[in-house]
Formats: sequence, C-alpha cells, structure tokens
Amino acid sequence: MGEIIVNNIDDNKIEIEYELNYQMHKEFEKIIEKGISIKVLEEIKIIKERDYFFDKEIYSQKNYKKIEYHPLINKYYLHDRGERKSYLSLNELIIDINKKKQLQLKINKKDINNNLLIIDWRIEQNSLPKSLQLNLKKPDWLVLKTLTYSL
Amino acid sequence: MKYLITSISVISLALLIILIRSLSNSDFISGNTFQLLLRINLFFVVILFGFIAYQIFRLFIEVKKEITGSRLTLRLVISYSIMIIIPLMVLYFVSVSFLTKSIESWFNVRVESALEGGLNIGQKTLDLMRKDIELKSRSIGYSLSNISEEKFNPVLSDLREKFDIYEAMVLNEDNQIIALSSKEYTDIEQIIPEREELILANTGFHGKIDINDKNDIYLKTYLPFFTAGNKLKQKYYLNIVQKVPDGISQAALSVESVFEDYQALTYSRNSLKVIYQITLSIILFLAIILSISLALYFSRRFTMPLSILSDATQEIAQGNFKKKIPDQGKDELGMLIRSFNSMTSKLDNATKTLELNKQRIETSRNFLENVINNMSSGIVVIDYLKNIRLTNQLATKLLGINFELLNGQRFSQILETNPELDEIVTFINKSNNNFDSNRNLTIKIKKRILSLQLTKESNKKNANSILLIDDISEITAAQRNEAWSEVARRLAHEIKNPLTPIQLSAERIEHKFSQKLEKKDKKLLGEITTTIVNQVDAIKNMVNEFTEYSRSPILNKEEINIVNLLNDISNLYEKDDLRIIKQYKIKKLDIQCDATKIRQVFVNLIQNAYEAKRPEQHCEIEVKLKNTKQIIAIQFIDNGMGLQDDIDIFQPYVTTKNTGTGLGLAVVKKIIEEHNGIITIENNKVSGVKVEIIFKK
Repeated sequence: MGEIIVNNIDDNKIEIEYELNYQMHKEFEKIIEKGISIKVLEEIKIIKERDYFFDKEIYSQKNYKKIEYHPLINKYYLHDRGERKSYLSLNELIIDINKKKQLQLKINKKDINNNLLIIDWRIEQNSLPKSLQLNLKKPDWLVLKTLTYSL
Repeated sequence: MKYLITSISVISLALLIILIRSLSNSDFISGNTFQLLLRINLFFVVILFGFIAYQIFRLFIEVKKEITGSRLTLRLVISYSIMIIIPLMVLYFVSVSFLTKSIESWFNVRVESALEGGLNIGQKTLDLMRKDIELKSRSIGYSLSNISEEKFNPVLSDLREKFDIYEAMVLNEDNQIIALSSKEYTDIEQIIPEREELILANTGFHGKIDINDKNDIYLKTYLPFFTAGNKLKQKYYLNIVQKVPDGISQAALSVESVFEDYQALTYSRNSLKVIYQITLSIILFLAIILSISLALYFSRRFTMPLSILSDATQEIAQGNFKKKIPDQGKDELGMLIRSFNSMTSKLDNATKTLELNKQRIETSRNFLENVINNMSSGIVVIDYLKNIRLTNQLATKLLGINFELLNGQRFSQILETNPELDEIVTFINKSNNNFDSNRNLTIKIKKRILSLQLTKESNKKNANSILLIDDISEITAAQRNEAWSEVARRLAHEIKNPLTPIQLSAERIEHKFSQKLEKKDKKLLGEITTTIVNQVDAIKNMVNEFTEYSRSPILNKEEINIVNLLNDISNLYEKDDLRIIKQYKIKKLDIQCDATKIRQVFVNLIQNAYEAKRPEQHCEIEVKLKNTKQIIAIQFIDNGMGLQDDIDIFQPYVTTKNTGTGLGLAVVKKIIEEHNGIITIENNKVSGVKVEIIFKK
C-alpha cells in the first residue's frame, strides 16, 4: 500500500512525500520485456468533490515518464523530468520508482481545505503502440497506482 | 419510422466507416475512441435490430389479422432477405477466414526468427566490440601504469589515436579528471562518470554499453590501475568511451525497433483477430439489418398499390363506386391502377344512371300507386294466370280482404278467408283471355252494394285484367231516398187534402145527428167519429212526417252554443226512468247550424233511445262531446236493446218499433248530412247502441 504524507503546509505551497509501492503487473512486465516503450503519466491533483456534478479540479500537475527496454544492450531506461536512468533489471527500475518522492505543490493554503489530493500513476492508452490500443476493454494494468489523501 | 431507420442506418454507416479507418490508420483515432466507436456502433446495431424486429413483429401481426397485402409483403421480405443474407454470410465467413489467416501470416516463425537473429547479430557485434575495447583498455591501462602522472596526457592521446578510440580519460580516486583525450570537442561536465561506475570498476574491470538520447551507442569501460614508479602507489581509473559506428548502431537500433513493433503485434495478435472479427461482424449485422429494412421498405412499397387495389376492390364489391386510388407511377402497376380508376368511374356512372332510372321507376310507381289509391274505385289487377298483381287500398276496404298478403297469389285464395265472395271468384274465373267487352257484376257485401267491372288491359295475349270495384250503396240509397221523397211528397199532397174535409165531416155528422139519436146510438156515433178524427190526426201526423222527409234542404244556419242546446234538451227530457248523463265539462262550443233541425236530431235520438229501453230497467243515455282541431263529435250511448246487425236503421221505413213510421232516423241522417256531417250507429259491447255525430270544422 502506497501512502501520501503531507509534511508542511504554507500559505502558498504544500510539501508532500509519497511512496508508490507499486507491485509489478505481469502483463506490464511482459510488455516491457518485449521491448515495447511505455509512457507513464504521473498526475498530481487536488480536487473538490461534488455530489451532483463533476469534481472541481483545483490543482493539477502532470509529469510524463517513459520506461523502455533495449534488448540489444539488455538495459532498462527510465526517462523522468529530463533525466535518463538506466537499469540492468526491471526490478531495479521498479525499486527506483517505489522510492519515497518529495514534492512541493504551489497552491494557496485556503484552496486545500477539505479537498482531496490524488496522485495517479497510469499508462495513457493513446501513447501505446496502435496494436496495443485496439482492445475491446481497457486493460487493468494501465493504472499503476492511485493514492489519495484528504486534506 | 422509416426516417428513423434511415437516420440510424446512415449514422451507423458513418460510424462504421470511421471505425474501419481507425483500424487501418494509427494516427486517425486513439484506442479510447476506437472502443467508444465500437460501442456506439454496437448500440446502433442493437437499436436497428430492435426496430427491424419490431417491424417484422408488426408484419406478423398484420398477417395474423389477415390485413390485405401483408402475406405478400412477408413473402417478399423473406425472399429478399434470403437473397441478400446468404451471399453476405458467405462473404463474411470468407473475409473472417482470410483476415485470420492474414493476421497469422504476420507472425510467421521465420519472420520472428529473422528478427531475433538480427537482434542477436547486433548483440554479438556489440559484444565483440565491447571485448575489443576491453582489450584496448587493458593495454592502455598497462602502458599508463608504467609512467608518471605528468606523462598521462601525451601518452593517452597517442594511445587513443593509435587504437582509434573515441574518448579516453584518466580519473583519480576522487573522480577528478587527470588526463583526457577525445576525438571531438567534449563538455567535461557531461562526461565525468558517476562514482558508482568507479566503485564497480574496483572489481578489476567494469564495462557497459549505453545509448544516448540521439540513439548513439557507446561502449564504456572503467579500468583501475596503479602507477609503478613511486614508492607510494597511486590508484587511477582509465575510462574509455568508444562510439559504435553510426551504420552499425542505426542498423542494430532499426532491428530493435522492428523487433519491438513485432513483439507489440505478437502481443496483441488475438486482440487484433477478435477486433477485426467483431468489426466484420458489425458490418455483417449492419448489412443484414439494412438489407432486411430495405427488403421491408421495398416489399411494402411494392405491395402497397396491390393492397390499396385490393381494399378498393372490396369497397367496390360493397357498392362504393366512388373509390379512387392515387396515381402510383408509370409502371405496370400504375397502368393497372389507372385502368381500375377508369373502370370504377364507368361503374359509378352506370350506377348513377341505374339509380336515376330506379328513382324514376320508383317515382312512377309511387305516382301510379297514389293515383290508384286515390281513385274512387277499388282496383284489382289480375294477370292471365288469375294471380293478383296489383290492388289499391279501396279494393281492400270494399272487399274486406288484406290484399297485401295475397299479392302474387291466385285470386281464388280470397275464398279461404272470405267464402262469401265466391260469386266474385266465379265472375273472375268465368272470364277468359278472349273476352272482348267489359263484364259487370253488382253484388251486396256487408251492407254495401258493389259494382264490379272487369276489363282487359290490352288486346294482347296474356294481358292483365283490371277489376274495378265501386261502392254504389250511397248512389242506390240516394236514388231510393229520392224516390221515397217523391212518393212522400205525392202522398202528402194527395192524402193531406181530403183529410181536413173528412175530419170536419165526421165532426159535423156527430154534431148534427148526436141529438137525434138514442143514447146508445149516440154513444156509438161518438165513438165512431172520435175514431175517424183520431185516425185522421194519425194520418195527418204521418203525412207531416212524409212532408218533413221530402221537404227541400234549406237550412237556417246560425252560430249556437251546442252545449247549451244539449243541456236544455237534457233538462227537458229527463224523468224518472230516463237519465241523461252529461260526460262533458266544456261550457261553450259554438257550431254553425240550423238550431231547430239540430234540436230535432237530438230530441229524436233521445226519444229513440228511450223507446228502445229494456222493459225491466231505466233508460240511461251518456252524452259525450269531443272537440278537436278537425272535428266536433257528439256521442249518445244508451243501455237499450240495441240493433239487429243486418238492418240499416237510417234507411226510410226501416224500424224496429211496432208503431214507428221508420222515418225518424232517416230524417236525422238527412239533417246531419245537410250539415255536412256524418252519423254512425253501432251496438255497444254489452248493451245498447252508440250513435256518433261528427261535424267537420
């Protein structure tokens, strides 16, 4: 189980850290091992829940990550925030992903009360190769993890 | 409904085209949209299927209700559907088979082996290059370990060039660059290796292959070495970077990329098959549904004129010749409908003409019936077979036969209900087709004297005979009355003149000889002369009645209140054994009449009633008055002995009394008729008679 910890809330920023604690999905592993590049979206958002309408999005931040495997050189790569890390095994990559991450969200303090912080790691279907997109239903391995925290 | 189906069909087709495009063009549409499209398509297919199912259900209901044209529509729909569905099914199965085989062919074992082989070649090449660079690295490391740190730079440059290495550097334990040689300009910050790499190199050697963002493949080695000259050995790290030639790296990466695509395809092999099969199935279903809906549409369109024609034929069979069918185009059906409309127009005109003729005949018949019914003679038309063909109401009335029941039957049938008419039947039967002149018969039936005249309609063979029946009772009675009046007038004139001298002579004889005769003879003479005088008075009275009967019909009419007149007479004549019951409440009822004569009528009727009373009971006379818009009716109902059925009491010299002259009621009738009234007499159910006088207003 992953978790979000709010370390500090200032007037115009909030400092959080979270652990993804992602367990590798077999299908996901299989796809990576076949050398198919996967784009992962990390979305951090604060929403105001509404009973009778769509939730109101108060804050949103998106980071795209890319996981790829080069069978030619037997290496795994993680592209994250302009950095490119290589791993000898997928496990190493997952361990790295699951490391505690610290974030600073620039948002007014008054906007966070009673709202919900969501950290969502998911694979965008559109970014998959076309042949993987054509499924009758959305594969369950597309969502890596969704963490929530009531502010 | 048809617009709805068309709209949904068009939408479905459009969506299907988009779906097919999304399958073929990876940039056209995303996976999410593809799933959405697939679902929308399926949704529309289900909706269309629902509509078509409903249409077919309706068609079956119509067939069950035996609505015209529904069976033919159903047959056509089934035929069209079979014609379309069978080739579609064949096409579908061939397409699915072809597609499945095509997809399978993508994943040919040889292709996969070739790709894996290509990748292995790349790996082996890189491995060889890695080993080569390892050897070179060890050689350079060895050379550097024998010189001092100051000489590292020139020696490294020489050796780098000698071994054709891309980049070489020497680092100390603090990861600081001691010497560097590179084929190209290098950003030092970028090339400093990570400390982890050096740690890994402490095992004796560390090598790795890396790919940068520009898809350049680099071989990197990390080799620790120690300098030999100094007492204190210094540890260094030799880092060599060898760039794989562009041709090899691009080829290897290309193989890797194709391998990646192939693996992606392999991964989604089954999904692809299912998706294509589903897409084809949607196309098939859509095509089938569309073909059935088109079959329904065209079948209904084809059978509609026939249904209309059938309905119209039924309406015409029921007599509606005005039925017109809208024009249905220029084809054979349209021509048939135009011919049908033309036929109905002609039929309508013919019917109108027929109706007109029928009306004319009916009018003529009614006119003839009216004429016949209003004729003063009864008419019976008899055909040559002696069957009754036509009669009028007067004939029914005069003969007392209901001819309506006997119409078309033999004339002799009248004997079944009226055997007394045998003389007429004999009269009819005696006539034959060859009689030339009219034949006549006078007969008395039920107090009526009837004159029958039988004439032939024409001289043709089998012509009808016409029996004219006239009631000559009144004419006969009038003639008789006239004769009696003449007799009475002459008798009165002849008898009345000598009566006064006879009476005076008898009185004179008594006066002259009574004194001369003895008492006995005197008494006898008195009795004789009294008898003569009384008898002369009686003869005078009789003569007066004759005179009254034969007098001229001059009336002195005035408006009198007939209620007062009746009241006066009632009061005057009521006595112990005569009771007059006035059954009327009105006080005033004026009538234009001769008061003296009408009084005479009322008195006469009351006297007759009193004289006809039963000996053992009192006479009671009910007097009723009825005043309507058309008539005034006065009824005298007594409780006396009544009349014999076979006598006409209003005839002169007909009486039931021993002393009556038989002229009283004859005079009453004459007075009433002179006032344009009618007098009738009939026996009551229990006893007595009812006399009714009716004056027309």
